[in-house]
Amino acid sequence: MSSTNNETKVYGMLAEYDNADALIAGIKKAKEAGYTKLDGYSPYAVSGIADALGFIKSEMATVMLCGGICGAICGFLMQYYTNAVDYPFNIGGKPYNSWPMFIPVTYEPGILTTCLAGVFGLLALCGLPKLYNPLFNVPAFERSTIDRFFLFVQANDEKFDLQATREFLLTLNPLSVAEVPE
Amino acid sequence: MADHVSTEGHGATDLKVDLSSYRTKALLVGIGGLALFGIAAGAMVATNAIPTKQIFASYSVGFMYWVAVTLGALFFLSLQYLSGGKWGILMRRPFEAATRCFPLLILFFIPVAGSFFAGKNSPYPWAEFYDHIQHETNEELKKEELESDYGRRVVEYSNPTFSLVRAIGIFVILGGIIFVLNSTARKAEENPDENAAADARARQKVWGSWGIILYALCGMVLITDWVMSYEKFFASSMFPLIFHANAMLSSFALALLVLIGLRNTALKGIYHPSEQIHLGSFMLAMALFWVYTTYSQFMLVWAGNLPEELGYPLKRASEGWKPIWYVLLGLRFFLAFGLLLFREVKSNAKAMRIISIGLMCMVGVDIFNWIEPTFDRSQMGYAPYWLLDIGAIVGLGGIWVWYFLGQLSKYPVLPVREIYLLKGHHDEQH
Repeated sequence: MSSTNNETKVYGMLAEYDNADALIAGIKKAKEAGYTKLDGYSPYAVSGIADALGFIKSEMATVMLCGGICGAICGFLMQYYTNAVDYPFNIGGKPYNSWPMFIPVTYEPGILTTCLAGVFGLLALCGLPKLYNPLFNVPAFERSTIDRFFLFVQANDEKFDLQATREFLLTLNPLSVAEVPE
Repeated sequence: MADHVSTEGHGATDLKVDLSSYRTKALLVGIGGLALFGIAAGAMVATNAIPTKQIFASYSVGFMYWVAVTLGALFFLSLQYLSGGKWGILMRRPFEAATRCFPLLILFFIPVAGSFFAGKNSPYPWAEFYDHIQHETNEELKKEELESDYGRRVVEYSNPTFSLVRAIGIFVILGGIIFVLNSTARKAEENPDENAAADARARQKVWGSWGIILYALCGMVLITDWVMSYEKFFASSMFPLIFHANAMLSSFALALLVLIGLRNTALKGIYHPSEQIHLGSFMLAMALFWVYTTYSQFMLVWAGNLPEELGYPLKRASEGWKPIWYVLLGLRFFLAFGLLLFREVKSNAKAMRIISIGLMCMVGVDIFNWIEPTFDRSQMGYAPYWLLDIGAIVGLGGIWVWYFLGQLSKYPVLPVREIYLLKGHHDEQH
């Protein structure tokens, strides 16, 4: 972790842009320069940012699939236990484990847990809830939800150097470059 | 930013395709299939290996397959006129061309109509029963049979003449809506008066809504008359939906094959992997719809546990037929579902071509499974009657595809006046 002269820890460096194309171009140049721990912030979803950052695949699909399978198995076992083990009841001469009738109820918790896994998985993967985010120490960052685009270089990037990174970001033609104190 | 779709250079002339070499191949395949059907049928009947009714039943498998493809195209054509989705711009012309194959179905229907009146050689139990009643000399027995539930049903509804009248009605209604949809499309595309063309596009929405309603109602009647009545007592309100699921999937797969086939020629620069991903997701929904309808029918029969309904699933779950269920469930549902979940697969043209062809084959297997297990084969030995089914599907299919490709090459493969919508669509994705 880097420090300023008065020993305040630095969380990273933030470059501000006024359009998405400039941000995407900045991310690409930073990647070419060897920076790996980058992030991009925009007031609306811009798919090119994820591509430029190299987010090839989201883990959400796996998380939701696992959640759904767990829910479906639990739903089926719940019915099996109730109908075939705990309270066996002859209905129309059908077997106690009347599995064709269990499928709709198996499906429902499957869908429910898929959605729950989606919601909570997304929060977990995004690191939320986050009660304190150092990025808000930079006043300009408030406009990230209004009309500004930000490129963030983390201080724990191997290539990060306070002075060199500032100078590099200035070559990317941002509106401003700011240190992010931790 | 991503590359833009360049549509400026695509005029009506650039978008017309010459498919004459494919047409010749399709016709040859069709003749080969019909020859297989004819030779196999002749040989097996001559040696008493199969009864005559088997020929009608096998022909019916091939006939129903191409009915499904044609009517599925009518559904999607109507749907996309009504909803106006951009996805339909790409697929509109293949669907239009497929619906214009409808006159062929009338021709193909003649042997099926003949089977209505074939008496004891008819594969339909009601036709056989009706013939039996006509020739019953014992008046007391005749009266008793006519007053039975099944007797009343046959006399009042499922008799050969009324079945033929219903079939003619279906052909007139569906032929009419197909004619109107296609003629409105021509006006929307070719009328030099821009206002008149805009009016025609507005009317497409109205006719599209009628197309969906008539497709659903006529589809329900025809699948009940021509397929479900193979089983003497079986009745399922899910069966028409299973037919619709097959019709949608087969026609959609065919249209996708056309797009994939033209991606490097007429559709170069227009048809992108991003569009293919959306169409692949649509196909995934249809794979799910099939398993939903098929399972629902099974579950309702299981829950009802009624003797007249149980025959249908029990025959198909018996030894010899069971592997078809495993094939359908394994390939048509689990494999297709597993593959179509992935964007990498959906964006790959070659993979989607294989999946489309595979799913079209599975529709054929499903239709085979509706009809063939109905008959008691204990007296038939090991005669390869299934050669007739393959011959019928391929034979009628060759002629259908030959005609389809002719219709497809008559007009530009995209609606030129609405092609700008694809440009907007592609930009929107990036």
